[in-house]
Amino acid sequence: MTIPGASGARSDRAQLDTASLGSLPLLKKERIWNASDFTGVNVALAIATWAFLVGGFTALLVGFQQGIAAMIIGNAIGLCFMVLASVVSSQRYGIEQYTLLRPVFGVVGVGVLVFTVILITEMGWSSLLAIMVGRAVTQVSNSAFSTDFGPESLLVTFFALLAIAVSWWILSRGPVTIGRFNKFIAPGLLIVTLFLMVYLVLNTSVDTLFTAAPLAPFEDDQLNFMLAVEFNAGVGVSWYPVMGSLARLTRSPRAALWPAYGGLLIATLIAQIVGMAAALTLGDSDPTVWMMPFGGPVLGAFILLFIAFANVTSSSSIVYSTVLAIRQASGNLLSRVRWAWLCAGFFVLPALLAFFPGFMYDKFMVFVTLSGAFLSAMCGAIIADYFVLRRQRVSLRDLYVPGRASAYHFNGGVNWAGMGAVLAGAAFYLWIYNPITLETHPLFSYTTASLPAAVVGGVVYFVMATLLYKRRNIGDFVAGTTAAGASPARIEQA
Amino acid sequence: MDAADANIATELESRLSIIDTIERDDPSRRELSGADLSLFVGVSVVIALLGILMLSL
Repeated sequence: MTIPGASGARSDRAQLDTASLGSLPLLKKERIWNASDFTGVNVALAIATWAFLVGGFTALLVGFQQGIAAMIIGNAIGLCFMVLASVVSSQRYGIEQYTLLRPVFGVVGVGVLVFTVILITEMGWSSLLAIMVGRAVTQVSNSAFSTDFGPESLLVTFFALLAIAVSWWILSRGPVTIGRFNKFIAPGLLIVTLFLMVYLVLNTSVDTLFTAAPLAPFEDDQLNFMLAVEFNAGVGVSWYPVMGSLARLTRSPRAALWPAYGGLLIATLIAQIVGMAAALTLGDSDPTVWMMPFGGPVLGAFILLFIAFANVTSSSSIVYSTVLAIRQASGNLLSRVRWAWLCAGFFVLPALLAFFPGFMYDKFMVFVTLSGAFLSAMCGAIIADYFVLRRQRVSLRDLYVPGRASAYHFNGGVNWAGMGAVLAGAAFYLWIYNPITLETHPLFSYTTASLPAAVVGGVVYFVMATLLYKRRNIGDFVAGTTAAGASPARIEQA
Repeated sequence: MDAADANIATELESRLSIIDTIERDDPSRRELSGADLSLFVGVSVVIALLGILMLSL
């Protein structure tokens, strides 16, 4: 996989800072991916160890048939509005998603969301991947050296911290290094998936799979199914922090839309279904537990070590665009901080979480659904802004103009319609389904929580933006009506 | 504004000018058509319905 910003077009502009160029609009000659390329990128991204983990956790709640249904429904819903919110506009304008969020939330509002919702989401995922590395190495140690380290032992923490250190090293080297590692990690994970499939076909009958009981369900079957759907919808929408940065490199709307949706959906479903089947067969949701019984001591250990390394590079990939976003969203505050130090700062919380490996695994579903609550509401607001209110038209110049000179300055840099929509959508989500207490509203059994949260976010945004800004000709909602038109001179001040 | 800022501002202005003129009507910058949008949402709904259908098999 190639990481955005690693394109050849950058080589002749080495003097420009990585983060700054990363936020500039790409030109036609730099948009290098056709539909086939972008499908490959998305498949490589989706066939990752987190898909096994999601498959394993889905098996906690439901059996095989219900699990497949939940994965299809959840991912179809979550990916649908994630793609509409991030891929479409980033493709058209050649800009990553965080700069394109300025019309929806204002430049300060984007900063608030990046430093809360996005940062916490990505920190959670990277700490989970690091802990998975620790557990994988512990499994190898127990098998090869007859040690008896548990899944929450200090050895897990030690190797999780080591994984974070290596992730930081890769990330601090920049996107080209990440791309180099991913070139062989993605095919390797595809082979691991195929290996698991072959093993399952040889050692498990279809009947056994379809009759296997879920591993740790609640008493209410319908609740279990809807929780599984919601969990998968949360996973689908959690691609948001990554996808815009990739879609900007595609050559046409169709080359972006269908490969993003189809590539992620199909590859995710395959990897998750294989993961769920493995979990139901072996009775454990943790992918690091599957490999020894499947591969034996030598091959199993090799696969586990490969998965450990794959997690390190996956973590670097997802963190890259987030650290870029942090730098852009901070304004002048972090613009002078060295890239390596910024990356190190990102990993502080994941490193602390590595001391609580059991907590992160136990709360995995809560974390995914909670972050899904905010991301769904964000997506609803973004869709209402871009498709309904702006009719797919954004003023590129105003995205980059600082302060009051920008049409997207709103009030003190905050579009209160966007912030209100996120809060309203997330509150509605938590009213329908509270992932911590597991309290649900009857509506949850029919609509999930992500979908209504996105709808509420969109409707609230439409109403508030119309009343607060559009009617007063603020925010450039109707082309050319905003008093402040961006000029090259004002961009010079940026 | 230091030299790095000036470089970025110049680069940005150059890119915006190219996008405004040379690439203005390029197919790569077309908006998503209503038909494509409807098809995309329709396909997503059909896939979700297939998931529901899976339950009744």
